[in-house]
Amino acid sequence: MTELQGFGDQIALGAFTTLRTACTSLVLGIGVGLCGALAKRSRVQIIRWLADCYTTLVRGVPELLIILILYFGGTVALTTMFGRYVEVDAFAAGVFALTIVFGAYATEVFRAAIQAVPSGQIEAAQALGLSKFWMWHLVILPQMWRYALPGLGNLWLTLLKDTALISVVGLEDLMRKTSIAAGSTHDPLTFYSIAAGLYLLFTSVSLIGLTWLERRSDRGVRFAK
Amino acid sequence: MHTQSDNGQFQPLISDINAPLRVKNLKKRFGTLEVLKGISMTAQRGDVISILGSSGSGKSTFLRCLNFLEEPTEGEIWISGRRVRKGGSLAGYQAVNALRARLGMVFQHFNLWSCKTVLENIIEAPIHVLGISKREACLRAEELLVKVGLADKRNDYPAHLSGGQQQRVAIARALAMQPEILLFDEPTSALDPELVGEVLKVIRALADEGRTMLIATHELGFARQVSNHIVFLHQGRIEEEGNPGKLFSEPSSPRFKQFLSAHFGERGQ
Repeated sequence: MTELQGFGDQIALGAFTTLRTACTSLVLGIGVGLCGALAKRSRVQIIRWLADCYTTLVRGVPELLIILILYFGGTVALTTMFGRYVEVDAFAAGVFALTIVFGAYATEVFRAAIQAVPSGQIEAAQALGLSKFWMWHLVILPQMWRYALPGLGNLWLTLLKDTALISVVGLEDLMRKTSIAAGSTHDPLTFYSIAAGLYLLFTSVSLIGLTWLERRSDRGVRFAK
Repeated sequence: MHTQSDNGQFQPLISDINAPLRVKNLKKRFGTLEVLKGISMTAQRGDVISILGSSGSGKSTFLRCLNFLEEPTEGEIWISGRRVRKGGSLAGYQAVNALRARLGMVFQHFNLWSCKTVLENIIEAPIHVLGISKREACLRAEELLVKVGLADKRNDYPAHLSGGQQQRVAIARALAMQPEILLFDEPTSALDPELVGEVLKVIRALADEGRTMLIATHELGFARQVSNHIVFLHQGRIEEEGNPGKLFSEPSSPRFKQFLSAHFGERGQ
């Protein structure tokens, strides 16, 4: 990609950063979402309340604002802590912000998915004396995936596109590289179209992957083998 | 056999103390609704006890309380001479899990794990609760599948099996834990009529092996043939009990008479 008036490499690099940011946030966000869903089912009222606050707050504020607040808030916090100016790494800040956002929505997706697992499946595990760990590992998690996947797929597409927001705090992602190229070559249409094409490529490949995952998770449930 | 339904003074016979199952004055309330109003019962080794009663009489709740799927509100449960309590503590939780491993439960709706194959359904609990090796668990599982007549289905998923086949797998899954007592919660109520026979046949074979079993059922004819003791529950109490021959030919409680005639029509003696 040495074409594109010399910006090909830069855009490829940006695309890589975008994917890296999105994938890291996805993995961490799934973790946060699972913890959030467990917290919402906790017997301890204060834990439930904290989880409710988290999802209400994050889902009620624009993503861009969350990113800005975490980035500048993080800078202020770290500066105060170390007594000197600390610049927050844009990648870390971006992943952190996207994880928080993804985790909040994923919490709700997982909560619904856990509820969708038929109670008889859980009772069978209890009746056999399986410990909570094995009950989750063998019965609940594999089954809740099936119910969670469509919702998670949507969240993943949103996440992939939300990485573009991180460019406002200086992450050298696909969006930022593209707008630099667009500015310096005075050919915005070409470069923004290329960026759009790349995002579309990523999402389309994701959709194929999701379809495969959904089919896989339906093993044993569908009648046609 | 020794059972007793009155509240309070319960003097167990010597033979009762180490009985596989002893229940004393078991009560269960859901909010203000008292579903079980004090049930006492002892099952000796090899006893097959059928629990009869119309819907809402507390049959299912009673069985579910025995392995703490429902936590009893009051009363005592003794398994082979050891009292089981739940409480909130970790020790209580482990005690309940250990208890559950010794009671095999067969559910009305089979409750096979839909994400696992027939073989996986059977081997998971022996591996993770009893701690036996996967190889041994598979060997045992295959023997059990032969026993319930489903050896060729081991790699199928439950959704590909008929209701009767699923229930037979569920019985194999319970047997794989080598339980001291088998609890059957209306094992044939969710089955099409033509599939009931194959499941009853398996249960009958288990009774012939001398296993200790409690069966909540609506199959009166079956209960009469297979069990050595029958308990009739009505509104959360034991209304009548005794050996099947006597109970069916000379029922004393008007409610049990009514129940029998509703089931057998004019033939209800």
